Amino acid sequence: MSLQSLLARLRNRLRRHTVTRDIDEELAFHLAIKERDLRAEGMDEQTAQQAARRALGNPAVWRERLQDTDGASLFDGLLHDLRYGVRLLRQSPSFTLTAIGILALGIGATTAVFSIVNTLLLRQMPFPEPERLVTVWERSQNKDRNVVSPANLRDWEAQSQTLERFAALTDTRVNVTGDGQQPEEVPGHLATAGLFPTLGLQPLMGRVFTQEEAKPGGPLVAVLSHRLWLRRYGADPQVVGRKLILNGTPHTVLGVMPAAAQQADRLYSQRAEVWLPLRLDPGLNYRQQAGRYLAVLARLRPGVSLEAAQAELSLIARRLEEQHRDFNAGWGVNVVPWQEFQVGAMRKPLWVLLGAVFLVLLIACGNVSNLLLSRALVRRREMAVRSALGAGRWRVTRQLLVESLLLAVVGGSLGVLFAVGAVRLLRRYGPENLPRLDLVTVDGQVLAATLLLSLVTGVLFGLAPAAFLTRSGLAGALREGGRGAVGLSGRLPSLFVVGQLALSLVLLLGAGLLIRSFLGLQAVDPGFQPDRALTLRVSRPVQSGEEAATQTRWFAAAVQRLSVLPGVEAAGGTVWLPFTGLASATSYRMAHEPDRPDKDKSGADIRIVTAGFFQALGIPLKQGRLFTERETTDVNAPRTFLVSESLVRQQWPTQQALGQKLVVNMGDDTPGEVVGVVGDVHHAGLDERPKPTIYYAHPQLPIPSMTFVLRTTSEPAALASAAVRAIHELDPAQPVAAVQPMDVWLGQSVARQRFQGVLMAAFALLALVLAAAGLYGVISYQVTQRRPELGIRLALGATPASVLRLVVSRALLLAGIGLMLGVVAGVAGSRLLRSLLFGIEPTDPATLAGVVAALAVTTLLAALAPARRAAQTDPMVALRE
Amino acid sequence: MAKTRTDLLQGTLELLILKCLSDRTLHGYAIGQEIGRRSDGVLLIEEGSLYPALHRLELQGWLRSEWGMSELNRRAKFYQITDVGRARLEAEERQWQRMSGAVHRVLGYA
Repeated sequence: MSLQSLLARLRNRLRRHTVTRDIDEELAFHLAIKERDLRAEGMDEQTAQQAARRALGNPAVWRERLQDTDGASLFDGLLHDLRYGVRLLRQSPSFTLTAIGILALGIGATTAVFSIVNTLLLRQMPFPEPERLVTVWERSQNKDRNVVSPANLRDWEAQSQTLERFAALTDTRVNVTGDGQQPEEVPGHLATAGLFPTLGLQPLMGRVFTQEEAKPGGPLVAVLSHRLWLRRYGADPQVVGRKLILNGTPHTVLGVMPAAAQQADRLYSQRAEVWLPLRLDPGLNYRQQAGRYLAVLARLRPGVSLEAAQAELSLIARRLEEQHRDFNAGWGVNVVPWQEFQVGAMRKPLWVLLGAVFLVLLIACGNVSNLLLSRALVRRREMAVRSALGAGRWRVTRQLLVESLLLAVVGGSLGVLFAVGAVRLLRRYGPENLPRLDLVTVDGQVLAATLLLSLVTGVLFGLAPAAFLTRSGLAGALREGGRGAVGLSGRLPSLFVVGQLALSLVLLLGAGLLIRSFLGLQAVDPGFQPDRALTLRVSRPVQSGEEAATQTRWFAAAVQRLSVLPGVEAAGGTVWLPFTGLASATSYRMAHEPDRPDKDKSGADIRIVTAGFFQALGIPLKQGRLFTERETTDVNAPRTFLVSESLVRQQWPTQQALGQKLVVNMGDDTPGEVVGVVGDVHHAGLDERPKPTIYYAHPQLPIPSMTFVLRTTSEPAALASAAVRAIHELDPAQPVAAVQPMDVWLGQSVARQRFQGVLMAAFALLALVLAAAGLYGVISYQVTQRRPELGIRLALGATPASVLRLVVSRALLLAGIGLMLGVVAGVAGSRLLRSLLFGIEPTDPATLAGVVAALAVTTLLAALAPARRAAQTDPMVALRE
Repeated sequence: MAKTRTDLLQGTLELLILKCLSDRTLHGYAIGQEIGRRSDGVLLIEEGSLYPALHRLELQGWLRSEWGMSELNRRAKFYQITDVGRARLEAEERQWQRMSGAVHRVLGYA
């Protein structure tokens, strides 16, 4: 049947009456003309009429045959099937509700996961030609994607033929004060003027800053994000041109970015609510005065491939290596497509989740199929009668498929509701650092996919029962007492259950591995005491017009005030708190060695701390001493360093660390003496090794942004308001940000693993329940079928215990086969998880043994109830059946 | 009058109908008469096969139908071939020639 004829049939269905009339008229004409010809041959009118009619036959049969050909009946048939199906389903509510419930769960879960995948991985960015947008990083031995030096960026821009429209940005924090509202610290970007043109984003109102305005000494201007504009300025239509006090000085608002830019505002590591010009001085030698700190975006020139751009920039990098040995030796370039940079790390975990939920759906299909099969056995008589009355095989199959599709579509619709709810929950409680999680919606694309999925699912689980019911030889069903399925169709439910058990094992194994991975991660000692520690962040940007000494004194005073608060055991501050995603690192050398190019020097993480920091965070002192009072408050004190154990292992494995002098490649060349060694601290994450670390006392490198840490005697959250008040006593207009216990930061760092583990566990549990229910159903049914036989056994002297054993052993047989298949599939499949695991092998025997045991016990329990029923069969009742 | 052999294949009937209409427009009865005439009375199509075949061909888009005035001065449904139908006719004719040629050879008619 071609598409053309299908459409024609649909048309005819809609014009049903016209079609019938036409048929009648055509036949009437035929009669008339035949009559004329017969009369021409000599018959009289009466005889001719009769002869003509006789030749034509029964007009009603005619009409029907032609109507059938015309296809109007096809849709009539479908409509009839639909109505019949609805009626049938309404007659057995428990079956219908169960089936719909299972389908809703399966399809709903799949829809929910798919909407995550769709939004995060598949949906396009709101930029023109997003596939041409790339990020450009410097590549070193240790780091694949390192931030970029402004000097190198300048050279790339000048020399590249494959990339155009370079733009750079870096994260910053902006204090918003002076507008009568609560002072607030907002995240922002310092960006070059080319940022928005490179992205292709137009402002909603006003404009963005120009290259002129972004020069050093240029006007103080800012571009606001849609979110900030709504939240703090009430969507003020006159906001463009307004002067806002940012970082203590008045800035003119140039424009506001649209809400669509929200999808793009997490360009580097934090979400930006305001954009300020990044002022790069063309006259400055950035290789001498600064390090690497920019995130760079660019576009591929039309017709240029990613590989070509990568090759060209590697060449340029090598040239720059030659020209600036000291700075660039050992540094290359890495061009990464923007999409890949945003979501690359999430691809695998998300596809794994989608795979898992598909398995759950398959198991659910198996359950519904089994339900239909058991109902099918009841309906065999009905089907046999239909066949006897002349319904073709296709007709009957069509009826059954319509019923299945009906179930699937209703189940799918419910599932969508369930998915919408699940997505809403996810947005509220999902991991913070899964970017764009709050953008996940069940949109048109997902709905269309769900509809397709429902239809396919319906066909999938409907096939088996339909095939069973329409196979020839149903004549036996018409005979009284015809029962007991023979052949393959009898084994089908058992086959399904074996498959379900196998799939459940696979899911359980995956979930077990991921959960153990997460627990192992959580158990890693971070190197400090995360409990009973409150953190809060204060930034006092240099623009406030204070000099270094004043800033240092301010922060020292803040620490002092915080430490005397009731309920505080110790207080201190650090510029970069562990587990916040911020850090600083550079190279260093021994003071008595001559300076060498960067790549030959050792690298270390840099931290800047105040007095009391180590006590507050609970980092142990291993050798020597901590910073003195003078060292932490006086800018003129001699420079001293504290170092971490791993640095000592790296640098002085056999020598004494204390007393050594280091020169750090940060700011100036003043050497500093190592006066103490502290314990290693995990900074970036629990799954990364702690790096060698050098600690500065704050006055030595007085960056005016600090996270304070308070060690509390009780609940850290209880001291939040007291701590903020203490800061405000020093400066009432000072915004305080990120007031939260250290626990929360730690929790966020393992959020992804927790999320994965929890979801997989939920799917695995669902699968287990479904499979166990399937097993229960099949065993129950078999017990019912075999009741006469069991009755005979009992009557002949078998003990109830032996009957119990009989049934249970049958169940265990199924379970055993399922488990074996599952183990094979699971071990093969868990290899895929390797990159997602921490501290555990995919083939971990303990986990495997555990899930096998769990499944075995579950199947045993599932089989017990029907087994007990079998053992309690009254032989008299059974025999009478 | 001789009856149509019911083992005249459905596909062959469609081929004959298309051929008849390849150069003229006819109503159903006339098509049946035409086939009978051209086959010298050997192929007499029963109404029971003819009209379903015509309707089928129309559904597929190979024929087009129109109501017009017949010689009896009453309305009749006239059929004519479409462009797609013409292409179909050519293909069917070629197929028929291949088939019948093959059968010929098997039966030994050179």
